[in-house]
Amino acid sequence: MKKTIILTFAVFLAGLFLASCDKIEEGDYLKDNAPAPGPADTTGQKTLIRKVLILDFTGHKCGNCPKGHKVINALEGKYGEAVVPIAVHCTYYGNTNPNASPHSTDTSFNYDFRCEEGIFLGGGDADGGYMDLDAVPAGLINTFDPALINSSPNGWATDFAKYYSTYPEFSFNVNASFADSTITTDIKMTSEVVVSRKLSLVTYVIEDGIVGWQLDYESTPQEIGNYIHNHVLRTSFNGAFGEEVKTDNSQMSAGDMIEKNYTKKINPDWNIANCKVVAFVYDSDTKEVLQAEMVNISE
Amino acid sequence: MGYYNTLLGFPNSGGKNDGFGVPSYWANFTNDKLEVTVGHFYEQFGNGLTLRSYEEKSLGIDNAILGARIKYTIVPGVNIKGLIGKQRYYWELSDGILRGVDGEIQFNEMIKSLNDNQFRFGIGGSFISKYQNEDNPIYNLPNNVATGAGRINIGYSGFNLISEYAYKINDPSADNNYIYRPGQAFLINATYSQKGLGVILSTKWVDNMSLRSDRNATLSDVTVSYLPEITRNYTYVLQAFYPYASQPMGEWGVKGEFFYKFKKGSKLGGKYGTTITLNYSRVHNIKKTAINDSTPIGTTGTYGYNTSLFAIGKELYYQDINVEISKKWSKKWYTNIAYMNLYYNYNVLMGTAGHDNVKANIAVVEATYKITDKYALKGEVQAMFTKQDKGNWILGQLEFTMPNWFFTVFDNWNYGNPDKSARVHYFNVGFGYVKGGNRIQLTYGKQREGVMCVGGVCRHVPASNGFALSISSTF
Repeated sequence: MKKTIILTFAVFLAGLFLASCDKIEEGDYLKDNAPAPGPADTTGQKTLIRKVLILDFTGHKCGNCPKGHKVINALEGKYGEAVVPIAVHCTYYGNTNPNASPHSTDTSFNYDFRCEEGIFLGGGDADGGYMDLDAVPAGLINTFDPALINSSPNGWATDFAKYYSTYPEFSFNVNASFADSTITTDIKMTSEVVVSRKLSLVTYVIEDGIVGWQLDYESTPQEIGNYIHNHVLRTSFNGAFGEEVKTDNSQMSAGDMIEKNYTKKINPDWNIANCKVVAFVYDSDTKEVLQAEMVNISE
Repeated sequence: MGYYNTLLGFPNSGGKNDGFGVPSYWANFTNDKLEVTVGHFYEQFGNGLTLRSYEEKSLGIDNAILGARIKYTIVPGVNIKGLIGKQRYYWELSDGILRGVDGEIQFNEMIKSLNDNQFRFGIGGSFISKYQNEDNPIYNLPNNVATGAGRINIGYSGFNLISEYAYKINDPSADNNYIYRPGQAFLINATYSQKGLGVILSTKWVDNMSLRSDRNATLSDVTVSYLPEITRNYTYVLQAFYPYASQPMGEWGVKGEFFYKFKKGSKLGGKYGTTITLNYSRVHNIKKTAINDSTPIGTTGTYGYNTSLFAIGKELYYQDINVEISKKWSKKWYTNIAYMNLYYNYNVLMGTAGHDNVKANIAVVEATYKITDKYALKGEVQAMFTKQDKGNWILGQLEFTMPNWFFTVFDNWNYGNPDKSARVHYFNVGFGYVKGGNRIQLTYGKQREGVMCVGGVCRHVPASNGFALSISSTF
């Protein structure tokens, strides 16, 4: 008995030491090759890679949130259009209250990046919204499921890769145009495989290049007056959760298409040249986002 | 058994913390020398630098391990432990797998002739490996992260010294902002005690030593290593107002504590004796230098920075000087008075920016009057004076105790808040019942608000009003 135990320990120890150390040498920190995307698009008409939605719950008074923006920038640098980010300004850290830290002055932190849908999802001054957020930065990668909130921006990249390397169930063809202070969008989603899910389609407007204040603990000084805010959620055409476009589990054959059209009057403060339309489809039951698309708006 | 939120504003993303079920199950086999556990268990190696799995409900911590553990006593005084498992993550399991061994030799127990020797000596070592497969598309990450530690304890009569050193290989994580440098921690704790006298001297040095079983975990989730804080834990509300929190990314600290009891009948001791306690602690950052001119310290995806053991930085994180005198005047009267001077680096310890660091003076007077053998009334006045943060506070408390029951009422008034509209009374009333190991307490009152950041994630705890019921049992 005694011998057996000591032997077991010895084997266990040996195994532990052999398998326990992965030292990464300096210079090897960055990964050279990217995981392979889905099949190449031959027609040029539609997306056949699985684009990945990143819901970045953030706030201009959140000093750790720029870490999330940096990860999104790094992913965009490597994966380009496959990254579909949305900055959802919300929570206490999105407030413009001059008495809440950091204290706003006439010019600082007084611009409200939040919108109705963002506050519904991520919460306002005193609550965590639908996602029950207790802290920011917080990310949801290709899902609407609050249980999958990831508070580590570098972990978002891992979540991104997990989805990016799989075959898309849908492809999108999205057109958006602007006239008479109204955006009109036409969305065609085509199934690439047999699908028997319930489906919901969400269509948002986001705006890039808004110059404003941001707290950043990694910058000196920490209060930056000319920070560039990208992917800021402005509004939705069809509500924070979108519209259910397939309400039962009936089968959809490969090649079947669902088409939707929406219009929305925009706020005159927005710079339409920097606005984009984002569309994504998710499984109404599992909340997994199956495909996403982001397009410019033609004038 | 339920896991509902214990604190308002506590991490609960998507209701991960809510639920009702059986959180723990285990089977255990024990004989003279061997103990085998399969299921959920708690464990600590040494001082916890490599592993501490424990439960602390009030802080929302429960990082129990689900797996298997063997403890074996080879000969008396020589113990080894081995374990493998995954940590609890609310109602799920953490991503990473932990494998660990710990061995300890206590020579006084091992060698019979030394059993009663005044000189005591022991050594120990532990090793933990975390496995977490991760396909990060940007960085090459280590799937296996190893941490090892060695420790020693020496004692002679009333003197005791313990020391432990731990080292961890590259472990890019949410805590360290994905840098690749190794981590290390070193601590020494020396104590001396005899009748009526006690001395504690401690120091520690910590660099990049946070270890969790999931590299992307934040706040108080799935911690593996534990860095004991060496500053004193205060029980008076205003003394504990600005508590120190260990900084796993780097800190150096020192503490001295001195306790003396003037004898009964001496000039200062009086009829029943007088006790004086002095303590001092000071914590700094560690000195970090950039790896090159173009990379700021701590940049994601780099080595991070350079430092060397016991390289102390210039930034003060925390300092406290505290004097406490307690005296029993008669069979009926007992008093305790305390004075504390505090320096609190608000931005570092609360994880915020732009706040003034807090310098505060805190005074406490407590008096207890025993009405009869069974009934006692305690009164307390505490005051904190500071020009920073929320300004001055004053707290008054009355507590009446009788067999099994206690009744308490206090008001904490922020009378010196620079913002006049925030000069609020935080009034609380409560009562409780204590019997054996059981304690039931019901309080009603107003709680303070605050902002707190841990490991790069910030949360805002709103002010609240309401009832709190707490039930605790020990068997």
